[in-house]
Amino acid sequence: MKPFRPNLQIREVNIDCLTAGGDTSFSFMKENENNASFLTAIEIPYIYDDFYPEILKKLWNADDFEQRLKHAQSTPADIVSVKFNISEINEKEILAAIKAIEKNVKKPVIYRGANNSKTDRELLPLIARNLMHPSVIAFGEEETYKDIVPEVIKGGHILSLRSPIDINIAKELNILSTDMGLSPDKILIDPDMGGLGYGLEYGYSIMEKIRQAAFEGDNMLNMPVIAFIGEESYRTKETKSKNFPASWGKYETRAQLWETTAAAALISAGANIVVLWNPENVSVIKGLLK
Amino acid sequence: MGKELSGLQIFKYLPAAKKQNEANCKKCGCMTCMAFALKLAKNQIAAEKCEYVPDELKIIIADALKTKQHEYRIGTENSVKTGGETVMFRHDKTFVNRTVIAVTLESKDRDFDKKLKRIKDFQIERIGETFKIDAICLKDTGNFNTAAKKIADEKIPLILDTENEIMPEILQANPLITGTDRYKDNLTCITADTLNGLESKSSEKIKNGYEKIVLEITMKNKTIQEIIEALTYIRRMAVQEKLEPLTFPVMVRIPAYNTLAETTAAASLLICRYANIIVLEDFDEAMLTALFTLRQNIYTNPQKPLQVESKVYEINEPDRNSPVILTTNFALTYFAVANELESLPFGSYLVVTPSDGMSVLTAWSADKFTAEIAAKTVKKFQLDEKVNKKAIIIPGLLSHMKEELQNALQGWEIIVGTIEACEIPEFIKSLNYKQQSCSK
Repeated sequence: MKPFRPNLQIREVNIDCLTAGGDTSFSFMKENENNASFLTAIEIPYIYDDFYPEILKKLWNADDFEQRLKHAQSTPADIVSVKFNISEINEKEILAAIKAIEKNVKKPVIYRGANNSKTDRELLPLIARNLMHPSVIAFGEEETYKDIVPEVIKGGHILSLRSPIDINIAKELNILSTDMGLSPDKILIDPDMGGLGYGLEYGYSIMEKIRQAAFEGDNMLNMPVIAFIGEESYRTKETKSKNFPASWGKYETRAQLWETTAAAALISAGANIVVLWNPENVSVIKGLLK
Repeated sequence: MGKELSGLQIFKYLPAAKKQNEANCKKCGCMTCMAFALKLAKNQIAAEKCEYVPDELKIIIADALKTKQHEYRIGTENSVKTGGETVMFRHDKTFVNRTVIAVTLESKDRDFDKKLKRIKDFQIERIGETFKIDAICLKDTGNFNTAAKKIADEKIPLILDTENEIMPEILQANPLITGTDRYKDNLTCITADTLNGLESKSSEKIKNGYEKIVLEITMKNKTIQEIIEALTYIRRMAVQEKLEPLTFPVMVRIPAYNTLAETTAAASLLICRYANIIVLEDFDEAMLTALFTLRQNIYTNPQKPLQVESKVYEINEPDRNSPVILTTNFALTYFAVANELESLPFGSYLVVTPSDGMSVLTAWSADKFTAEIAAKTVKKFQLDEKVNKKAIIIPGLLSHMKEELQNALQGWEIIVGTIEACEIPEFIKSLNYKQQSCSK
């Protein structure tokens, strides 16, 4: 069997003690001494808002943020991700939240903004400025990267850059950010995603294309890819509603497997980091490497 | 090797390209060598028609005509197709025949009838398509032919796992047979636990005149990583090298893992990475629903712009107090918006315009989203009879059309919405739409 020979491997991005990327072939292929393995992250919200599913609240069994952090720390996930799902920025509150994270989480952390460019433009630089350890900041996008990149560079952080399911914009954002002085070894590509049944295949194919481009020698598309599939999974009706015919199965089971399935698919497409919402899926997804 | 040939590639070898005396001699019946080359590339004319075709080209053509992966049917009436794949990545062209999803049943199971009914009754509908279990893998634990007959009578395609004789009547149902190779004319599964083992067994079968073959790699003592690796090699050898013994559909039997989630994760990988047939030991509706949905996603043809029907989508059982949102019929736009609306704790109406599957700005610049089209759509679906508050939320990207739309939609208030779909829930909440007779 002729092994696949890439011109270039996926860039290695060091997140604290962990390494994302470094792949010399497609996922699960051991050719070319491919020892790269994907990482898992577990994501918790800063506050429980109306959109956060009841079924996950039950699993966490922690109404208090600090309690949630402790539980997230105790999952087998490699990384803990905290989503600041806020609309108003209260600096004192943010600083207290950072303190709580630094106190309770002994793993690398992803600090996520509110998915709102107006908020994130202020929030993410504020967070980046006030962290004790280099962490992942997520995410910069076309509208916000200029405001976020300088603080990320100063803090020695890693920036996750989100593009709207578009490989050209993904590349452009990487170029523009490196032009501002950000090291390409400090970038993660977030190609954005639809959940299972909601356009998953678009993001899936973009991931495969990014990986192909990287292997063909494109050094502005060879950063590790991160997929925030937990959030997308728990937006779908299948994970939120019991209102389905019997063939759709038990609600609790479906609400877990909807994320399991999407995450496994994205790993096969080349995701280097999958960010999950369901703590029970962490060991399942990690188990794919056994 | 193994690539599809273009007319130009063939032309290089012909007299006209080499400026020989025989250039455009018309003996083949074509006006020019180029015309012949184009026909030959499409396999519409035999290479022998031209006496000047060099041996080198004959070899290239013979290779191009070889099959990458054979395609077969399992079953008769409700048969499923399997195999026929031509690419490594869906974006290279498209995947062709969806992974056959089969479940296992034991022939002497005490609950045989009950389980058969459960399998038969499973049915889900998604984006206008109905999915049922594609096939049953019947394991011989006794009373085999009687059990097989029951399944055949239900017109469910069969995968027969037996070392014993099979009744002619059952053979007529066009099953896939594994466990015995005595039925040379039937679709026969050959099994091995290594790639080399599979290749040599397959070569032997081809030599012995077997024509319909399915390959099975056993998962016994193997990790899912090793299986995916083997399947990737098989697919590469098939579509890139056309290595004959591996140009057949591949089946994997997935054992029941400790948890349903582990089984689901393994099955998901196999749907993405090159299993043509998966056989599940577990039967769980929620797992199957997730797997069928993934399969639908992965096997969607990426070359066709995905669009949804132009109509009013009722999300979360809306009522007379629900908001009305307008967007175009590009599938990704639709899903992005619909998904956000579904996450709201109350119902809503999503009005989708007929815009040739274009996203909002593209449709606007191509005149596929005009005030007139919007007004027509709203009237056609009689939105004014559905809600009390006559207000329509339009995409934030079309804020410049507000006045135009206002004029076209007399009696409606036009509200400029958000640019990003993910900001929709916050936005709608800020408009004070209240939770009414909510289903959640």
